[in-house]
Amino acid sequence: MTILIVEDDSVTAQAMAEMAEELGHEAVVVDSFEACISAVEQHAPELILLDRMLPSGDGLDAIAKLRLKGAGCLVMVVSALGRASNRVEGLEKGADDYLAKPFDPLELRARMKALLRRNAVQSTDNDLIVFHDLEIRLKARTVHRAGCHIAVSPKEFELICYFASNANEAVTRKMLLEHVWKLNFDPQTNVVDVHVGRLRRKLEFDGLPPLIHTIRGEGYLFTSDPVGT
Amino acid sequence: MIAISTTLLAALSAFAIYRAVEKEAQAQLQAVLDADLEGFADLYAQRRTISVREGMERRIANGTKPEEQIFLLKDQNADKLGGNVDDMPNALTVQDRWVEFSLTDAEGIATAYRGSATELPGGFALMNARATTARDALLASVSQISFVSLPLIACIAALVGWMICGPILRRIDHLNAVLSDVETGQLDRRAAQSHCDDEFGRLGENINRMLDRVQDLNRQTLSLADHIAHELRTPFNRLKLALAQLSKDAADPKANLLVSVETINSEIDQTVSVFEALLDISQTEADAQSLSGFVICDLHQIVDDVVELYSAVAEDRGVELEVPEVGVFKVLGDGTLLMRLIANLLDNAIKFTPEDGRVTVGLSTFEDRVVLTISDTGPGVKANMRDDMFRRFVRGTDTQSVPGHGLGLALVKAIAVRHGARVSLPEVEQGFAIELRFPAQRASTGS
Repeated sequence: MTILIVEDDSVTAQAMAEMAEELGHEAVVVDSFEACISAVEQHAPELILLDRMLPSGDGLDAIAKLRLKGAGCLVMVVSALGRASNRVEGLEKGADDYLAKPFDPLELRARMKALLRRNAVQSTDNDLIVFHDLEIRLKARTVHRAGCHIAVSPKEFELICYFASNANEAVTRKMLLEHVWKLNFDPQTNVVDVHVGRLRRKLEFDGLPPLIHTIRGEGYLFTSDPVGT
Repeated sequence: MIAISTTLLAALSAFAIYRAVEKEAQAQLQAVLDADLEGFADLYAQRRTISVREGMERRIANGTKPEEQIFLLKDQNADKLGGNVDDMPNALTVQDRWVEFSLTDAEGIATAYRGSATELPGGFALMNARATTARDALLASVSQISFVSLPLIACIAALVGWMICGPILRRIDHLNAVLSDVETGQLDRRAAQSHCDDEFGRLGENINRMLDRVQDLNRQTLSLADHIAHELRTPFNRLKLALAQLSKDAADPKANLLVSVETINSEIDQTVSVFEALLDISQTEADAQSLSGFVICDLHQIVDDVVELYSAVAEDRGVELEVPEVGVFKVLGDGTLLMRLIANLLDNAIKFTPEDGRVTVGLSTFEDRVVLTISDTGPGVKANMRDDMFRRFVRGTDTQSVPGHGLGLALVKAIAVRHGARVSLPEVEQGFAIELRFPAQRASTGS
């Protein structure tokens, strides 16, 4: 699979390309929207990492052109225009994800993996998510662990679904705010930590091993394997 | 331009009048000629040429002069049987066709006529014509009046045009001069106040309002640049110190470099968040008079979502969170901004309320307003701080232990202003309360 990087800053583009290759994808780097459009036709990438402010114009216009040409690839805007209103505008105009600069490389990596996984998962219609001893029934909106029912609030259910669908991958607080709470701004206070802490306590009843691990400086990891923090 | 168009219009009108008069005079002359012919035909029907000849003689006897009318009756041999002229005019032939021609008498005076010659049964030729003198004189008078009046009309039009356009052109020149000055950077230039409530007066007022707004936005931009330049020095200084520490730690094999790196990362995140908050405030202030992106939002639903987000934090801190009763409180606004406003206020309230305290969110309607109230039982705000608390980077005293940059309430104020909400700080016995009155949309119901 190919990841197309549209970025005019060579250092950032190089870091993105290395990350794409680490994730096992071929990286194609271009520095203009014109080159982006021809590269999409040539390489049919799975994901485009798109800078918004290039000398040739606003990247959101390029998304519109790509969509008009029928390109269905995933687009993540990575831009210095990082305010809540910029992000809302980007998502409304066809971006699948929006990451503000300066970004943490680990956050970019987590978002890329989540996006690519979302593309793969969308084709399957499965009501049941099973992870280790955890069972999530999507239609019934129930959670069981080790055969015991766990009462969760609607938001906690969405939280655990998001964790489970990104199992074994780092998930940042911003990603949780955006996907679970649909917030395009950071409320600053540790609201996410508090909600995750409550869910964690519910999942770890009777001394069951933890599933949600805090990764310092990154966010969380949903895994059954022991993690050193 | 006004003089030329008025003169042209007058010329066109004069031409139209001339044509109408000419048509009417011609019709009258023709009616008389038709009556003459009809009279001669009736006479011919009585006793043929004898009656016609007698009729002609009667007309001559009654004083009909050749300068007014000429008539002639001839037999088959072209001999004159009657009439007041001897010969058929050269221009006329017996064709029953109306012809205009001119005859000169013995004294050399030319007279214009209109007439025709027709053949009566038996080969007799009858000619009748009337002088067009009266008609031509009328048309000449009309022409003369037109030619005299047109230059007069042009002069009057030019004078009136100058009187009307002169002041208008002077006012346009003034507005152009103001705009040219603004273009060169004199943003404080304004159009002179007009004493007339006309289009130009209103144009000048609109230009002044636009320039006020441009100047205001320019001031805000300069103020933002100042704030960024001044207020970001502190975090940059902390970054420099953290980098210096990292440099020192790099030489110490026992030091944990990850801690220093995390500190630097955290400082950068904080710095970026200050940047973004400043930009958000400026953008929201700049958009103050714009309804772009506004939709009808249910403020109760937004409050519910924010309360759901913060309820766990409040519970963990031992703060009771009271929420409004069910209802629909519709306002026109930007859902994300409104959510941010409520989140900022709730965040502050929970942060500053001690354990076992209470934060209350209230929604109600009053007259045409939706009233949002958030109050807490925290330490409150000192009286001398209340006026300044919505300014950027202003924080209350004794707040050093609570994280924040003093930008939250500035953003709240900017969002409130953008939504046309009135912000007030009601006096409460204990703690702090803020009240926002949004213009209500119809169909708002609630307690």
